[in-house]
Amino acid sequence: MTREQTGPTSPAVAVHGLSYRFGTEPVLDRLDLDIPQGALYALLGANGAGKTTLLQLLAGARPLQQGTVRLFGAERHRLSPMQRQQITYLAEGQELPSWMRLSQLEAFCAPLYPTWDHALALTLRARFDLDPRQVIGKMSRGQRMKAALLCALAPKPRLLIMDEPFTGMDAAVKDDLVRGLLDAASVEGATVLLCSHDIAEIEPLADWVGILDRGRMRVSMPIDELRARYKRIDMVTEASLRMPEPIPANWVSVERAGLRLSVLMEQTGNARELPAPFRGAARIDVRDASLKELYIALAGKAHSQSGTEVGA
Amino acid sequence: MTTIGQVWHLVKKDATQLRWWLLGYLVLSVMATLTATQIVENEWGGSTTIFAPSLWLLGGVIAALLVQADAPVNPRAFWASQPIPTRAVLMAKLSLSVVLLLMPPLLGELLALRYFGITGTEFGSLMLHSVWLYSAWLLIAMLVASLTKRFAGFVATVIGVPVAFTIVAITLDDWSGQLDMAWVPRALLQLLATAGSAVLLTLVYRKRRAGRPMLGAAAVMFAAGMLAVTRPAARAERPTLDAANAPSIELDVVSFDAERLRRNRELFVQLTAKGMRAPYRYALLTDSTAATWTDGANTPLWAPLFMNDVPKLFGGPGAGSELGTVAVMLPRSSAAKPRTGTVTSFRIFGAVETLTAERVLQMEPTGRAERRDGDVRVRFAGGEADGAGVSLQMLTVYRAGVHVRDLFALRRRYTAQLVWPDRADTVELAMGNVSDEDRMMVLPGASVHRVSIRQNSDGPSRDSLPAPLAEASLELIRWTPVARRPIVVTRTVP
Repeated sequence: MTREQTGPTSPAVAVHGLSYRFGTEPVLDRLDLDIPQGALYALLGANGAGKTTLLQLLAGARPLQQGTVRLFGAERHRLSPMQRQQITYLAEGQELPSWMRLSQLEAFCAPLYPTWDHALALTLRARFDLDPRQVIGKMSRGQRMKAALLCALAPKPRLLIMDEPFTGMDAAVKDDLVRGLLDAASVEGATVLLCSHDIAEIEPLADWVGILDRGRMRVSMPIDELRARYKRIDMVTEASLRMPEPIPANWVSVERAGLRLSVLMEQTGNARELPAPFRGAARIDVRDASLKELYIALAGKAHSQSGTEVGA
Repeated sequence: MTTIGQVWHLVKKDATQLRWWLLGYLVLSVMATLTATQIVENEWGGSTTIFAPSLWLLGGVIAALLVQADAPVNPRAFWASQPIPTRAVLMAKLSLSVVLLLMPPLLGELLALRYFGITGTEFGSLMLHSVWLYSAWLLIAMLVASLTKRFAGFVATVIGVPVAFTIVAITLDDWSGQLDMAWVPRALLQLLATAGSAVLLTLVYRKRRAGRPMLGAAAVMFAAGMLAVTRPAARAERPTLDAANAPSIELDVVSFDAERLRRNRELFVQLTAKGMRAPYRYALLTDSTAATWTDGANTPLWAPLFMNDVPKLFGGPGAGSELGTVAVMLPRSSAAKPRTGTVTSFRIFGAVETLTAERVLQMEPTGRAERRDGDVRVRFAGGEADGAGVSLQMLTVYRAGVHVRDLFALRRRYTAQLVWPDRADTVELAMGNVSDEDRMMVLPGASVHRVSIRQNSDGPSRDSLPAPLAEASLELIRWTPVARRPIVVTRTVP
């Protein structure tokens, strides 16, 4: 079956002015987000930042309150059945019908997706070492997650939304899941939106990254661009060297331990060089910042600059 | 997959998941129908108290499990991760409920009504009523289940709301004393409970949130449903006690064996009365009975008949002068310290109440009436209008609990008699299943009721009924005290 192409150049996900409240408690606040088709997008954020709610809203697991969500150019609440069948959602702690056997679960899901690939399902079942006769209620947590991932990947979705799929998994299971994910990402240019606390695990996968903080997107850009934009500079300074006052605006984070000074610096416009007193420091090491360092620094800066947008 | 296809897909999934529950429900439904039509006699003395409430409860439980299998307010539910629109889920749940939860008991109702020979308008009215009752209950159960993610929450709500409702009702009733609920617009409540629940259920599936306004509205629907199926006992007017105008009687102890009392600690005292007149009846109440011994000591006696200050009804038309026999016994403490000699006299301190028949509730047995194993079974439809006087609760209902139209708590003491108007003949019956001061929890249910009425041992045997039962009508008679006078009866051993 051919995929329904709705706006081939449209972003896979286009969110505008999205707000959501639990009672009087705001969770998402006029959030904007674009995810291009084919991206493997890592959504980062502290606990309570609104990641899960955002993904549930995108997946249709919650009704919208305010704002618009477009998936492949079509409004989410007006997706045709065909369009809806091209999106799958997998969440940590997601409930599966515990009374079913895995084979029954597959038999239940398959008719819901015209693109369900039985061969792929068999392959995944073998890769994940799942027994089709096993009752889901009696599966371990890791097995249940694998079963859920199988059901999310076998339809060969155009958009796969995953919320903390690695939580509580041991290394072997994580490896299985990551391989499965990579397979999915390589299938017909599928877009993967992934939210995880395990930054090290998703760093090699992601080509886009977004940082969500208190209901608003602080950063959303390709990970290469992010790395090119932020550099980690480690140096050994003289004891008499004093920190500049005020701290330069493009210094996202500064750590000083004795003579060692480490700066995460945003390289924008003319602000690509260290201030003069620091240029003579010994043992200057400039490298790309890791995603974890960026997340900690940017999320921390976002907290300290409440309400100020950082990055793109 | 089209929406209809998705609905069918979900129905198959739910039917598979709940297959054993549904099978149990169908079996219960068949059993309730068979016992209602008396094709199967159940072992609880024909009172069929077990199947009807069980069917009702199980229906609610299955409706809740059905909804919570794909909980609309749970964003982590499996269906929420699948490309299934909420309307397909709602339609699947409703379809399965109609076909497998609503239809079987309604079919049973239909068969039972046909069995009892009910036809025409009455048949239509009763069926319509049954449809309303089952629909309202299932919808309310589904609504409560849709607002609770877990079955425990459903159970707590379903138990908690009626308990709170009952407490409030009892409190209101106690406050007012003569609370008249006839003003309650029952049709409106019925509409609110069904249509309101259906609308709210749809809204829950649409919004997929259980906010406070939604919970409040659901509580209103639940309360409306409870009010719609509950009726307070209508009450007869309080009688005026007028001792001066009431006919009096004299009591006498005609038989008394003092020696037997000493040896066995128990004897039977035969009482007679003079001056009893129809249509009055007389009741003997006593605070104490006592025996006097040859050494002059008095010993209180225990008369179980007079326990709890419940008057013993005596006499009546055709009863003659003999009131009956009272068993009295020495208390245990007397056995520890036996008296010497014999009892010289026996006394009853108490009162005689004169009662008159009031608010006779007459009901025509309709359709099929049977006698079996000494029990007379009459299916009768009818009752008094709201607030007009005494009302009747049939405690043994066949199907699911509550006949709304004429189901009340029976709070007063009744006697029942079968009357053959053409023959001017009556048979006295004893209603073993009427409540006195009980406040019964009223449950929803169907329209066919059966009351098991046993013949009084004092009445004619079942083989000597004057004519076929179908020619008779049933009267419930409330005996109201109109006078009470103190009395001391002394019997001296000759």
